[in-house]
Amino acid sequence: MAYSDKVVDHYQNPRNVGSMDAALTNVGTGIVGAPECGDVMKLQIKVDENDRIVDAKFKTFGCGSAIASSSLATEWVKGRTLDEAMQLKNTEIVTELALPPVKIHCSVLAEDAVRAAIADVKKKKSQTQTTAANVAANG
Amino acid sequence: MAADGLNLPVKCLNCHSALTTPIVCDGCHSLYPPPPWADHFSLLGLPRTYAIDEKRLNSCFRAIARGVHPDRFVGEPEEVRSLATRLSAELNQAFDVLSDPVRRADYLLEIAGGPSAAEMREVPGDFLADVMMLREEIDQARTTGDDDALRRHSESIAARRQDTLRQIAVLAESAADLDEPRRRVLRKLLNSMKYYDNLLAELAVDPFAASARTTND
Repeated sequence: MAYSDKVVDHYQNPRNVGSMDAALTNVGTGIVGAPECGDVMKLQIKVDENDRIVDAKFKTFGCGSAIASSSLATEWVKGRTLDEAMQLKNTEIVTELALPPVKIHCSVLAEDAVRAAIADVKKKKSQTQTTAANVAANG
Repeated sequence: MAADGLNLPVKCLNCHSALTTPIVCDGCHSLYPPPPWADHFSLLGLPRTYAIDEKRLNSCFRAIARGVHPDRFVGEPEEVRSLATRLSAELNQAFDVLSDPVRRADYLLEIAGGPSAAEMREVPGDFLADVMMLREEIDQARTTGDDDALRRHSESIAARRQDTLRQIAVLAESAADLDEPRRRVLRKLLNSMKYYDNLLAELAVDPFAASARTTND
């Protein structure tokens, strides 16, 4: 199957490959997979105190379209707030990368990974706030 | 519901001999469209069970495939010939599904009411995080040329896959009697199989053939 130039570009020069410390409270990690093809994707975001995404990293073990989709997703979420990043739609990835119908699930995977990472960091933040509040309340 | 078509007293309308499969008569070679109750098992003349006798599956398939082969019906009217083509395709499909232990279990789950992989994409617990970690460790071992580590990974992943397949077999054997929560457990286990296959395929790749390390497209 022929890949579009943009997929090939992201596949050969993936942006933001790597890992961040998943234990940090300002780092959100999303790990998602596609049971039909066995692809697995990890996407991480780091947020500042204003819930703006200051860094994003990914690792994807899968086909070129899955790698390109996650690479593009990390580029797009950087600089956005968590709420803005939640708006990212897989269809935007499909359009940008000119993915054929059989590869649409790769873009869905990237969208799921972004959402999972956002959910993770939000959960951590609320837990830290609860802990901080408890500490303040109980002295 | 005619759950097990084999128990029905099905006879050939033409020569009245007993049918081993609802689609063709051994005696007079009459063809029949698959009845609505026919599943993959009954097409092949087999009881609906996970623990399948592979030799019997193969011999039944060969015998019935010969019986419905379009070459047998070259001089027959068009509708008979096209029925032979259709039956051959359905028989092949049934054989492909039943001869693969994972697809056979998936099919039994489907007959039992699902969920299908499309309806439920989850895998057990922290399985995805495990897969990600294994992938990273395999990459690391490749980079450092740690063949021992790669071999250990191959063995332990193959063992985990076998163990998962055993759990699948137990559930699939009683698929028809499983309640929904346990059918969902079976679905999760089935969903994990492709990840194991990919990990093992990745480990089977010759590390020196760098050009062969392209990903699946």
